[in-house]
Amino acid sequence: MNKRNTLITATVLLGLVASEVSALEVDREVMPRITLGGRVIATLDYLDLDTDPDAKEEINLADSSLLMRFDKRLYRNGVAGGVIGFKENEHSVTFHQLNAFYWNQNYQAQIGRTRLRNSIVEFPLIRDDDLLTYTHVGNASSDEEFDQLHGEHLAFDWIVDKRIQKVGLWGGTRRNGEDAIFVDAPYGIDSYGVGYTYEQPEDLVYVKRIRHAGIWLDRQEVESAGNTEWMTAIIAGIEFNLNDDPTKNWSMALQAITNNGIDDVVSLTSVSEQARAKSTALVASIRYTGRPHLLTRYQGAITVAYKDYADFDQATQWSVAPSVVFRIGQGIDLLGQVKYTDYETGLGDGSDTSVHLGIAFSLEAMFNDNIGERDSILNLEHGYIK
Amino acid sequence: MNKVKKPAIVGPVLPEGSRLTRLDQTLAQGLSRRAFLKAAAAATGGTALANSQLAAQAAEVSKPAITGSSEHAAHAAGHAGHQMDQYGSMMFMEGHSMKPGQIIEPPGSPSPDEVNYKVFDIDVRIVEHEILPGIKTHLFAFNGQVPGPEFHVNEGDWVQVNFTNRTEEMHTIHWHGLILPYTMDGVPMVTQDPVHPGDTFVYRFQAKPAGTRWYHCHWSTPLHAASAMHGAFIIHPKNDPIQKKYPYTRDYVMMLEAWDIDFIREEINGLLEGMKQVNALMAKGKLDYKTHGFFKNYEEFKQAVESGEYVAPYLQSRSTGVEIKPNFFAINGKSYPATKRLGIRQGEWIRIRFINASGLTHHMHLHGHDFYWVAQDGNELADHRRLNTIHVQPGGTYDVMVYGDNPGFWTFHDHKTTQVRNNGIYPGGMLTMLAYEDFEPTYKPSISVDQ
Repeated sequence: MNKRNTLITATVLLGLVASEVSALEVDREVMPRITLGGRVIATLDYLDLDTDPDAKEEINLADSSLLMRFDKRLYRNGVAGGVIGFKENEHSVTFHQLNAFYWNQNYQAQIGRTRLRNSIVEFPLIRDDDLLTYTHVGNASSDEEFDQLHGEHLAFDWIVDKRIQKVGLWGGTRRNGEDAIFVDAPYGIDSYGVGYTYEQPEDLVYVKRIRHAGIWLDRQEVESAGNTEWMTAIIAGIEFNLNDDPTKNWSMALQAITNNGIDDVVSLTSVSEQARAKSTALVASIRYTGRPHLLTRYQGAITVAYKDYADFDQATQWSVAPSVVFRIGQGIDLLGQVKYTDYETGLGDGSDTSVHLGIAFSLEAMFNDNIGERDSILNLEHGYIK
Repeated sequence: MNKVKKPAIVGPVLPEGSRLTRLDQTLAQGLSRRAFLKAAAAATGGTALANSQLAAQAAEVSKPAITGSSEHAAHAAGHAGHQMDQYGSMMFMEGHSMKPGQIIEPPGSPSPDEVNYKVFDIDVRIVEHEILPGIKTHLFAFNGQVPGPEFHVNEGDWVQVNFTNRTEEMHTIHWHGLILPYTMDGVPMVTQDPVHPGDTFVYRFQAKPAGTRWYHCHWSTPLHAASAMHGAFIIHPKNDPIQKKYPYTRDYVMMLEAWDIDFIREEINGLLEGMKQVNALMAKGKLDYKTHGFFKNYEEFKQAVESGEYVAPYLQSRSTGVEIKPNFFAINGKSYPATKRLGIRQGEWIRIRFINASGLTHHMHLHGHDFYWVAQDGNELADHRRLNTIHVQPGGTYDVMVYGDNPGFWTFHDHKTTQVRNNGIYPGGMLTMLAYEDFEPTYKPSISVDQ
C-alpha cells in the first residue's frame, strides 16, 4: 500500500470511527457510569482422570474474564446500559457477556448474552464449571462447556420487595448452531424459564438466616430423531446460615435439579445426551468463613454432589470437593481445591481426581457513579467466596 | 430562611413506647431516679460516695448513671471493681449489654432535683429530603428536619436534651461553642460512648455563653455532621448589647451546607448494611471492640496494627482514598431556586446568623447593601465591621446586621461561584434573595436555572 492509499484508508477509517461516536445528542458531558470488573484465576492442576487417562498436570486459566458495564440514568424513572464481557474459553477469548439492560426500583429487564438461569446456588467451588453436571441444567443442544453456562436470553424480573425477592421470566436460545450434530436443533427461542428467587444483599448474608433461595422451572425444546419435544427441569436451592455470627460464620447450601428428560436417549456418552436423560442431581455444601473484625480472611468448605440417571442401570456418579481460600488482599485469594468423582459402570466406571492450587485476582472499579447499586458487576460471574 | 420567634422545639415530645417511658416506669414503680442511681452506684462498688452526704448532692456526678432496666443494674453489679468505679467506656467492658433501649445519663451536671431543666426531646432518623425539585437524597436528620430544629434558650437556662437514636448507625451530639461539662461534649470515645441504635442519651448543661452556637453529630463527622445532622443553638443574652445597637425585629439563621449526594448515598448504604452485622454482634454480646476501630489506648492500637491482627481501614490495602466532591450547595436545606428569601422592610434591622456546616469556605455577598459584622463564633466583636462580603469559615458562626434602606430584590450568594451551581449547572446552590416586602417593584424576579 503506497503512502497515498494509506492516507486515504486512514481518513476513511477515522471518518467511520468519528461517525460512530457523534450520534445525535449523545453528549459527552452526560458521562455514563463506568464499571470495570474481572478476575484472573490461575491454578496449577494435577489431574488423575479415568475419563481422560492422557491428562496430566496443567496450568489452568479457565474462568478468567474481564467485564465492562456502562449505564446512565434515564430522563424519567430507571437506569439503562450495556455490559461487554469476555473470558478465557478453551484457549481462546469469547464474549460471554454482551447484553443491554434496564432497571428501576420495581423491575429489571435484560436482553443479550449472559449466564443462563439454569442454576440457583453458587457452591464454594473455585470455578464455575466445577461439578457442572450437578449444579446446572444441561444443554440438550450443545456439547460445548461454554454453552452449559451461557446463552442469549430476554429476561424480565419483578422486584417484589425492592431488594430481596424477585419473580422472573426468561426466554432464550441454547442451540449451538455451529456444531453439525445440532444442525437440526430448533431455531429461535428454544428455552424458557420462570421462577422465584430470594437473595440478601452482600453485607446481610451473614446475619440473616436465609441467604439465598429459589425455585426455577427450566424448559428446553429438543430435536430428537427428526421430531422436537420439550424437556422440563426444576431447580430448587437454598443457602442458609447455621449460625448468625458474621465473624465466624457457618453456612450450608443445598440444591436439587430434577430433569424429566426425553424418551429416546440411548447412551450417556456426550454432554448433550446426559442433559437429555432423565436425571436427578443433588448438591450440598458446608462452608466456614472467617471474618475477624468483619473483614473476610479465609474460607473452608466441602461440597458433595450426587447424580442419578433414572432410565439407565448403574448410572450414578458422586463427587466430593473440599476447598480452601485465603484472602491475602482485597480481592486477592490463594486457592486450593481437591475434586474427586466416582462413576458407576453405566457412566464408564472409574474415578477422576484433580487437585487445584492457585491464585485469583479480582477487581472492581467504578467511575462517575451517580446511580447507586443494585448489584456488583462481579455478581455476573461465579462467586467462590462468601 | 427560618423565621423564629419562639423555641423551635419544645419537650417532651417523645412518642409512646420510647426510651423515656422506661425511665418513667422505673419512677412509677416507686423507685425514684435518684434512689435508682444510688442503688446502681452501690452495686458498682461506689459505696463510699453512695453512703455519704456527698452522694445526696452529687450522685450523678460521680457515677455512670445508665438507667433503663434492672437487667442492666444486675449486669453492672457483676462488674464491680471494673471500669464502672470510674466513668469510662462501656465498649471495653467485657460482656457489657449492648441491647438497644438503654437510657444513658452521664455524670457531670446537676440532677433534675437540683435545677429546673428546660427539657427537649430530639432524635435522629433517616429521611428522604428534597434539595430542589427533582433531587432527593437520604440524609440523617434531627427530628426528621434538614437542618435540625433551632434551639432558642436564654443564657443561664439549664437545658436537658433527650437524644434518641432511631437509626441503625451510631451517633452523638456535640454542642459546638458551648461551655459545658466535658461529659456532655458529645465526642465519641473521648467524652462518651457513641449512642447505640435505639438508645437515649441525656445531655444536661447550662446554656452559656450567649450567642450563635450550633450542634452537630460528632460520629463519622464528614458524613453525619455535613449531611444534615446539624442545627442552630441560639443562646439569647439577658440584655443583648447587639439588640441595643441595632434594634432588629427579625432574626434569621442561614445554615450553609454542601452535599456530595453520591458519596452520601454510597456511605449511608454501606454504613447501614455494615451496621447490621455490628448490631447483630452487639445483640449477641459478641462485639469485639476492634471491629469498630476502638482501642483502649494508643499502645494497644499500635500493637494491633503492627502485628497485623488489625487491618486498619485507612491502609492503602483497604482504601486508596475516599473523595468527597460536593455537587449541591444549600442554605437551610435547600438549593436555589428552592431557597427561601429573606424578608425585610424599609427602616427595619434584621439579624442574620451564618453557621457553616459544610466543611467548605463560603464568601457570602449581599448586593445593594453593606452590612455590619457584629459577632463571630457567638461572641460580639469589639469592633463591628462594615462589609458586603463575609468569608464564612468551616465550623464558624458569623452574625451580621442588615438595615433596610434600599428597596428591591437583592441577590445574596456565595461568591465562590462554583458553589452557586446545582450539579455543575449555574445558577443554583448557595444563592438566595433579600426581598423587600413594602415596595412596588418595577421588575419582578423570575427563575433561571440554566445559564
